[in-house]
Amino acid sequence: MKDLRSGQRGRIDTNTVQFVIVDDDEVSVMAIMRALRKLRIVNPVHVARDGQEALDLLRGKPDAPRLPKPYIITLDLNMPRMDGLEFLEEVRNDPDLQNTVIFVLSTSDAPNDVAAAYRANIAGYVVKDDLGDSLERALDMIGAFSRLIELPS
Amino acid sequence: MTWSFPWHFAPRIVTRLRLVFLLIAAVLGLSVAIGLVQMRSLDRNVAHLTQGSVPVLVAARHVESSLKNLLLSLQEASSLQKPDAMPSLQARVDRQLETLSQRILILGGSHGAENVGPDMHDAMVEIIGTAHAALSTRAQVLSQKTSLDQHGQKILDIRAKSLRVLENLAYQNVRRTDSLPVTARPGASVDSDALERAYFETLALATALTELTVQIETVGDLAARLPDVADARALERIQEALRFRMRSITVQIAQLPPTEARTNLAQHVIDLRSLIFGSDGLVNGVKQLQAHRATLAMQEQAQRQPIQRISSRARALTDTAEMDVIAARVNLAQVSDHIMAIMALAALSTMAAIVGASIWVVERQINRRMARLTDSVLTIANGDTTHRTTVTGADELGDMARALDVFRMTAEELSRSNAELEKFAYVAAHDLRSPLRAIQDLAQWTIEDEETRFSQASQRNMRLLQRRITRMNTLLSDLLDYSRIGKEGADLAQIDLVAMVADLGGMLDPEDRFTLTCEATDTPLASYAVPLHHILLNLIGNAIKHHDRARGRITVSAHMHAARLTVRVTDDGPGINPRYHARIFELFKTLRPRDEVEGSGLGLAIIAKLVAHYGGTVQVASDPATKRGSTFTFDLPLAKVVPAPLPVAA
Repeated sequence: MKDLRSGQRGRIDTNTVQFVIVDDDEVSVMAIMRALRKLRIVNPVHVARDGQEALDLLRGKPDAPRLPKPYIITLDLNMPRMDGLEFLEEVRNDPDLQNTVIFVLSTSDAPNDVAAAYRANIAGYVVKDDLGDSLERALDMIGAFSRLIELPS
Repeated sequence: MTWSFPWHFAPRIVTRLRLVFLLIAAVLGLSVAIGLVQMRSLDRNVAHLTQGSVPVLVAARHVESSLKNLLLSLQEASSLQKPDAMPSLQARVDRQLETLSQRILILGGSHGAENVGPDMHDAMVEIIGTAHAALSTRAQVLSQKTSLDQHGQKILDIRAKSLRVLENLAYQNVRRTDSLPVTARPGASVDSDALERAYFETLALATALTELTVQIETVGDLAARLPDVADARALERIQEALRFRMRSITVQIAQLPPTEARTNLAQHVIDLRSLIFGSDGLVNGVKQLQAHRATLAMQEQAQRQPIQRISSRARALTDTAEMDVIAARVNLAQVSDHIMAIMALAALSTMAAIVGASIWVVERQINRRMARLTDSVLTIANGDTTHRTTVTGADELGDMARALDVFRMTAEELSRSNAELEKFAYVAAHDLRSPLRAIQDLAQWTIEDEETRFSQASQRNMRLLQRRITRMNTLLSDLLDYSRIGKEGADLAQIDLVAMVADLGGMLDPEDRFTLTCEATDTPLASYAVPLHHILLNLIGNAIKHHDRARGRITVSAHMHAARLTVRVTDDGPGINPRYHARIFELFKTLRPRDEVEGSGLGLAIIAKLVAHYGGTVQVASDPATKRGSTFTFDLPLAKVVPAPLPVAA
């Protein structure tokens, strides 16, 4: 679990919406973090390597408390151990977690994946493609989302 | 097969068909053979008729008519009165006999007359003999009759003379009577007794004369009747009568007063007697005539028998011939019936053979299995590689079914292989892009964070690094596209070509370096929009990429023909050497070094595969030696039904 706070000047104090990034690819996480930094989004960010780690984070473990709401999750689909779709299934079956706002952020553009994800009531599906600023724009949108939208607590 | 030969002998289809045809041919051949046999029998019958029975009938008829003529002639002979006509009749009879002999010879030598021929021949000889004999006897009779007539005439002459004498005497007597006084006068010289005696004498004389006249007349009559007397007894009686009368005549003449007249009369009577009773007298003559007549009768009798024999033989032959004809007629009818029956039978059995063969061999064994096999082939061709055909057998169809199964397995293998390959390509491309993205990002971040600290060389290296990463990304992307072609179904959509081209121009040439025009009709057209967009993107992009000048002109034109949409993209760039026209459509082939013109080398290959998938072709027309520019032409299906218009997807 990483707890990164942006220490630069000019930080904008937002509400306490926590971001959880669920992705196993280090570079992918770095890309997200860089983009957040660029956008000066200073919400606390947590990273989970796979679905199981994310669940542990959200539910809490004997030696660590659960992550307090509100939070928004960005989810990758291709992960080891427990992948994105399995995680979604777990989350939606958990009464505590079922109303979680989740954005899928994946390289896969396969219609099956998109359909399956939406069946699990995600907030949105973003395809990570190669054009440079698409990630930035997606995160910008998520940031705005977090500021504007009333999240379940 | 639902039906097979009971002895587990399942020959090839061709063999079966040949057997069927052989069977039909055999049936026909057999019928023809039997028919020919019947015809031959018919032929024989007709020959028998024409060579046997019919000539017999004709010959017999000829013989009969000859016989009839002969009989007529003989009859004529028997009614002859005069001997003068005899020679000509004899000649005629001779001719007729000749003719009859010839005809009997013909009849005797004809078919079936072997037994009766000699008999008829003998009879003919007899007839000839008896005819001649009879005729000569007849001639004798006639001449005898003539001489008898002459005799008779003489007798009548003498009678006439005698009668005249008697007349004279009677006249004289009458005169004497007249001269006598009627009554004795008294005193006459002649006394009444003498007168009475005179009258008595004259009366007695008159009476005697009258009697003599009567007797002589009667003798004359009797004598005249003699030649016609038929039998000997009658002749005797008349002879006796004649003798009697002659005796009384003689007596009466003796009682006449002796005069010269009486002497003459007596002489006449003597002549008469000798004419009648003499050795060559009438009586003898008549006896001879009767003898001749008797001979003639016998001869004529004798004639009848052989004639009858010949007649009956001829009739027998005619009967036989007639029976033959009837039998032949019956046979002919039979043969006709046979032939008709055979033809009917042949037709029926041929029909049965054809129908049987049709049902069993053609329909069951061939058609049904062929239909099933065709179904299987089509099913497999349409993509169902799991379909197993139900056709079996040791013949050609069975062979084909087994071969089909091999093809099916190959096709199955192939589609499995293809599916695997695609999956592999997809997964590979997909999974290769992930680390590539990371590389791209890291490179980008390194440049962003540390660019100012880099040396010239390192900056240039970083830029090259980024370019290579982009290139690899494009390559992977294109590879993914290439592998995806045809797997995803595209939809028909209404297309606004002008708008599509304008949109592409905006995307590919944002600085408007090139004049991009679209010549297309206003007619709304519907085709596969997504592939069309992809192809135009590629072609226009290529035109822009490979252009050697700062400005240029690219023209897109479209026309519709026979359910195909043909599109042309023409540019005024440097053109492509005809040597490379084939190579540019190959995978990974570029014309310019990749550092000069970025390209994966897959663009045209993708276009070629896409267009081929929709049943069209793509061609390039360009010859830098003659003229600048190139024209790429491709065609896609054109839909008739225009679906509801959709916005053109970018």
